[in-house]
Amino acid sequence: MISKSKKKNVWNALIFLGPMILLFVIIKILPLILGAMYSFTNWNGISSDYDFIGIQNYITMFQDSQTWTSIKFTLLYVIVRVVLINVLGFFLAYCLCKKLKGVNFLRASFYIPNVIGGLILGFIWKFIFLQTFPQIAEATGIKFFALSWLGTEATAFWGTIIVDIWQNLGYMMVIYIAGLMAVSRDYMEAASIDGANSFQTLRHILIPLVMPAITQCLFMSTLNAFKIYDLNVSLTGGGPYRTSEAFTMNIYNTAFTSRQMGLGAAKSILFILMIVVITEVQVNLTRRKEVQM
Amino acid sequence: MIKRKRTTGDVILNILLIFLAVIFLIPFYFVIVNSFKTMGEITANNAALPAGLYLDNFVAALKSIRYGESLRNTLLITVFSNLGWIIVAPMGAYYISRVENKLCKALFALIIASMSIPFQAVMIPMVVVGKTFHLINSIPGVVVIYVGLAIPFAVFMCCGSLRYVPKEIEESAFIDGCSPFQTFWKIVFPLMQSTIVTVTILNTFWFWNDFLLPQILLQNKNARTLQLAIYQLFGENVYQWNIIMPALLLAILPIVIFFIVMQKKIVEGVAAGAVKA
Repeated sequence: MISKSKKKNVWNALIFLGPMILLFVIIKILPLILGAMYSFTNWNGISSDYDFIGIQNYITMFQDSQTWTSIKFTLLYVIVRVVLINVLGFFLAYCLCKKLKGVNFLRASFYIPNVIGGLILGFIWKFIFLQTFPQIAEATGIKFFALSWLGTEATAFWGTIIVDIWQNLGYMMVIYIAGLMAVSRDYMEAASIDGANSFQTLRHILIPLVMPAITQCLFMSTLNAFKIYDLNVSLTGGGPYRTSEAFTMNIYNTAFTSRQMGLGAAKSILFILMIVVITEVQVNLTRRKEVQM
Repeated sequence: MIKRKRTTGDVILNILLIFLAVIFLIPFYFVIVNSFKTMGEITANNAALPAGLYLDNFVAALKSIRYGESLRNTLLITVFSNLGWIIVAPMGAYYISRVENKLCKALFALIIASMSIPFQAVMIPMVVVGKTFHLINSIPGVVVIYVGLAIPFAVFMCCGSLRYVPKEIEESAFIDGCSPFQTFWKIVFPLMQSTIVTVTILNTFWFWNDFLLPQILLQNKNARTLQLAIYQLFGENVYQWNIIMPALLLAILPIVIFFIVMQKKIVEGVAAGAVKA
């Protein structure tokens, strides 16, 4: 690729790299720089002029109780969602690696919600929570279905968790299956010859060996939990009384409903920091547990 | 992987899993049966099978979400965004991984670092960038933005697959008189095929199902995607479930068919994309 003529090299770089760099800079880098800049202004999104107001937005942000409600909701949501989806996903993958009848049907059924967008899935479940659950409650008298689903802070939280897990469990399952399939049978057999029961094999052989997949799944499920928006919009809309408003929706409302672009930009910076710090810590913690074979 | 013989435990597990899988599919049952019911039937009993095939719902749904138009828009965005990154990103990745100077290494590091910044965190300035470059409220504009957003992951995956493309092949192509441009498209690109397919599959689901980006950047009524059209249905205070249900069914049908047809490739792609990322 590197030619002796300098002119030709510049020409090659232009053809191969030019379009990519142009798009990367305009779409990925420029917004980041602009966003950081806006976070120090009082821009409202409409007028062409604005003032630099220092760190005022960052102070306002933490004084606003709604920001805290949203941060608390998001962090609790991330923790519960990440733990549940990884435990269930791993367990499901573990079961589906056994010799079972109809494995392809099973895998496809668990995966299928994942191909549909969160917005539509949220609306489907809105119907189930609001229309079907009351009818089931009436017919069976089971209290679980008679709860005011999506109507209280707790049911909005758990309702979102249920739908989110229903949507993404298949995704985690596929990655865990790939991880489990890569583990050689020899290790399992050696362990069982040595007298290990299946729980011991799972705990001391299998889990350490699939640690790279676990690292990966934890990282991705954390990132996706932070990014929740579509489902949040369609299922609860952040209600009741903005108690289930995840951070993306909070940024959206600040910027596009209240027209406080500067404040929204400051919240975006906080959002990036939260994601980067938490995923970084998490990856470092789990990476240490990985073993080399 | 674990046991060769089926035990009673396995059989029970098998039955439990089938039961669980059926529960997973039940929400779709509700969407399908209630698409064919009148509003009265839905409020009376939404678990029952419809009394008859009430198709007026579908006529109303097709109209209210302007199905033909929103389907076409979604399809255009998905296809051209995919074509866009396929043209731009592998070429860039090729240059970065073959011309190993400091600049390329720095660029690669910058691209990878940018992967952890989600769109959510830059949506406000994206509106400004979109307005400045006239990318807002038009399908081609949104395609350009998607291509830009798709670059980091695509470059990362392509650089990974280029490690397995032997340089000898390229050198002999040069000797035979191919330009770097020809060598790339005729020799190297076909060898990257499986990675390109993986990334295309992952991106297809993203482009097709995305809601936040079109919500912010496509406010033009004629450029509505399926997701935006569905969202509009819920704008009113009273939900007309007898129109909403068939609309939801129509909206999920194309992507579910795509999944069923491409199932094997999709599952492989998802696993490959995750393990390398």
